[in-house]
Amino acid sequence: MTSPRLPSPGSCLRFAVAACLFVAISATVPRWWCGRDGHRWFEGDATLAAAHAREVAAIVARGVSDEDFTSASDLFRNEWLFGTYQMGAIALLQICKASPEHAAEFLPAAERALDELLSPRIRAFDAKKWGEDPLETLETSDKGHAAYLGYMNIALGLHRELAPVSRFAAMHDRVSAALARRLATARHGLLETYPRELYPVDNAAVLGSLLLHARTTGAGHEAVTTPMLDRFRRAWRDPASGLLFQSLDPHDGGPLDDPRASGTTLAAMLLGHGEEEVSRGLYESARATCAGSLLGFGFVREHPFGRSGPGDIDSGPLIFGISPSATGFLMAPARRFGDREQFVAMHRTAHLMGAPVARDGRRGYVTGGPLGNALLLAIFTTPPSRSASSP
Amino acid sequence: MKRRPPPTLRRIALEFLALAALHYALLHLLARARLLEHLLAPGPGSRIALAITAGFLLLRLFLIVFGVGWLAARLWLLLSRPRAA
Repeated sequence: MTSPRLPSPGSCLRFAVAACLFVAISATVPRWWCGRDGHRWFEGDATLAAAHAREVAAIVARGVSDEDFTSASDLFRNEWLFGTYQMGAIALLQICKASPEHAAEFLPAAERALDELLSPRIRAFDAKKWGEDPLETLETSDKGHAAYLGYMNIALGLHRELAPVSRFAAMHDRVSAALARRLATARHGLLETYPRELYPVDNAAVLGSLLLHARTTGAGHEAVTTPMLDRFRRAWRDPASGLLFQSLDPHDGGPLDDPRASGTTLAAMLLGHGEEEVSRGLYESARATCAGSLLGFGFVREHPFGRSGPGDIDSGPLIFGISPSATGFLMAPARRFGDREQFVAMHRTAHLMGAPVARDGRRGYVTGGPLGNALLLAIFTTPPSRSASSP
Repeated sequence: MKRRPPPTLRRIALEFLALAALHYALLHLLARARLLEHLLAPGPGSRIALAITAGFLLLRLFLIVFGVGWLAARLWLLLSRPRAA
């Protein structure tokens, strides 16, 4: 038997240099490689946006059905179907606004997505939960329908900004009027998404859409939007972290679920369509208490650092407490408020785990699917604030 | 005990290129599949899709984050190897 030979000093040096090379390259090259597109998206690269928009326009043109989704829940499959057209419409409209030279190519696809959103097939999930059709009862019902009407109304508002007179304008006015009227008498100051289910994040869509309607048409919704904004500043947020409570108790209006990043970041994204002060506050809270990075790859925890809890369909599967949804959503307010460092850090992770691929003049994310690709395009093309400065 | 021969430049290059080719092939194969839904809400028929996705993402993570550093370290060790007398 021979005893193992100790490495010579020269051998130690060789391995030390190899280890240094490995660490130095792993800490710099992937960060640079995965960050290149992040800088292009942040700067509003129209070529990159158009290539991804062609993928989303193709998804809209091909049509999506609930069979495209794998969840065992009929409700979730139909919510994602709705979300695909809603985020697709928002994304394509944002591109038309940012790059008017692409409007001829993408506005028809955006309008097709809006037509789908308004169709009985897409709104059936909401009608089934409420036992009444959300559009046929706009003037007669007091029920919330917060998710369907709120999210859809943002898409209608963005279309109104581009085309003040269109076949969608009357529906935009009707939905906005119904939301404002229902909010005025709503218990606890917010609308139910489904019977006895209160989610502040869905009400961020309602509020964002009303503020957008006021901006595009001059309508006065202050009587309901001002007190609601005030509740978003304090009442519906955790005093310690500033995060939005994920759901509220329909009986007393108190917190029913933890303050969580997925709801907070999505609310910052949605509310940003109508105003900036509260949206920025939500973004800064999520960034300060849940965002981190490793080797330049950003992530957002679903629960603040130092706390833990479960995830769900909203957060996506949590890995070491990291929420895929919140990590994606955070990029929208980061771009809106000019936070390049945070945007690019999160985009590196999206690039790594999303796996973008270009083919046939289009560009999409392999792990995205219809909903993921529509959502990412809406996030990446979030318009910068006019007063954007890094927080 | 017989010592394993040190890797040659050809072997290092071939191993790296094989991993890169596998990643490229899987990327284009999976571009035709819809994966996000399986990741967000795995259903009864999601096991194979999840296994392929997890394998692909692990390969991608290794190649992009550690692959270049690993290649450089191996090349350094090869080039700095003491020459036999």
